[in-house]
Amino acid sequence: MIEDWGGSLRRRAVSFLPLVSGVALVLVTSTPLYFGHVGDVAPRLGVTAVIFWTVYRPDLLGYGSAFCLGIVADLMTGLPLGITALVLVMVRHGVVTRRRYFLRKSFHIVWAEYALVVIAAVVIDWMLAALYLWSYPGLLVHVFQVLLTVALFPGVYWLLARCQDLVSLAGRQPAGSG
Amino acid sequence: MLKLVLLTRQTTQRFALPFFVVAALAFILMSRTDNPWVTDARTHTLDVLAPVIDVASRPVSAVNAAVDSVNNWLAVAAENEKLRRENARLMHWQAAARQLLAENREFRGLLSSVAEPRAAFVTARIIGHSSGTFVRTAVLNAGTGDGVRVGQAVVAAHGLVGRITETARHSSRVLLLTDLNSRIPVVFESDRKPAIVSGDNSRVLSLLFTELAGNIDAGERLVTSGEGGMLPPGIPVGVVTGSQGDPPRVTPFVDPARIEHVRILDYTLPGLMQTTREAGMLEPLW
Repeated sequence: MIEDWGGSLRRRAVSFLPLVSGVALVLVTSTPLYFGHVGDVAPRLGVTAVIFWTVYRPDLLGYGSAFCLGIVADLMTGLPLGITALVLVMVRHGVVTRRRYFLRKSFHIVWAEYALVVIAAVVIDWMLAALYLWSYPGLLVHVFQVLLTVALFPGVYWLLARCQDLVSLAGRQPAGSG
Repeated sequence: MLKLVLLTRQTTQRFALPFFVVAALAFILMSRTDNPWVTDARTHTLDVLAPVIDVASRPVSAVNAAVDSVNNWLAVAAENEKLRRENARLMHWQAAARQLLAENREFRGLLSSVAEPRAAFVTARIIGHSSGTFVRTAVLNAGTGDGVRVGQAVVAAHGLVGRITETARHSSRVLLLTDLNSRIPVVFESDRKPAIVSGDNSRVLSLLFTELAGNIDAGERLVTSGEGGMLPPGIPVGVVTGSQGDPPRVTPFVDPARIEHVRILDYTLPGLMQTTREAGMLEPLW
């Protein structure tokens, strides 16, 4: 009985891994990298986390989790509350309705499709900024943000795939197997 | 029972997207109207996450430092020559400054003029940045527990970095000069004409309300005017850049992305506000 309880607790804890990995990635990006005359540019790794988990485990990262991840990102980075949350909820919706274009495809195809979603996310962000600030925000920082986020994809994908292995392992183990 | 669970799940899934979109829009509206609840939530989150951000920022800071040191090694010969020339020039200025300081002290004594209040300071590390379209802020690892208050000036070796806008117990947020909401009263160093420098989320600043519009030379230095009593006067802010005919732009002396430590100045005019701390007093910085 105690072993059953332990196994169930472990599976429940591991089910939070998508959200925790997303928060960890957002934390890492709170220190942007410096790009000479472009200035400081931070990759959108929160978007990466939402795309990855929506494709491979949509049951573990729903709209609520995407929303919470966005709120945490906004609170941490000082952005107007709700902006990143709205972008991540839209990204989740866009990806979950087109999952079949990501599944069972070669890594390069997934990478290219991922780049398209990142571009869409940054365009939404840019439009929200234009509406919120009622001005024309510069494009250069956004272009570099897309390039940096897409360039970092293989490394982040590898890390998230290891997290997914952990989730799968916990799901396969029968309750009470230690 | 199973049917009810399935029905509940289907309804939740159907309404999840519109619900969270509306919730996000409601939060955006609350932020736009400066709802105090949003400020409180931000402050508490900052306090909880500041130690984690501090740890997370160290590897990235180390990468930035490594890139900087490689660049420094590549440019070491040219940099050395530049520093030699600068050193010779500064020795000349040091002699002039010493002479002026002595003269100034003597004249102040003769006139019995009121001395400028001295600023106490707290040194803090930048543990996080916000970049992008919306805001230009930085997070520091010092807060109200260290004497940091909203409105205080944040400076680095070369000049003003920004002002404190949010304080938690052990962390605080700085609104950088380049942020869209930043407005700093300044004067031209050469003729003391007043102006306001304002950020627009780009890397340079705009010059507002200046009497000299259209007649400003590139290379003019701007320093804080001290108007309002929150910022000490004379802190270097930036230098006018751009060509004749174009609206004047100001390049800040400090690039926050390239610095790790800053000073938060506790500057209060006597009688205007009660001084909370006496420790760490120093001579006027600039």
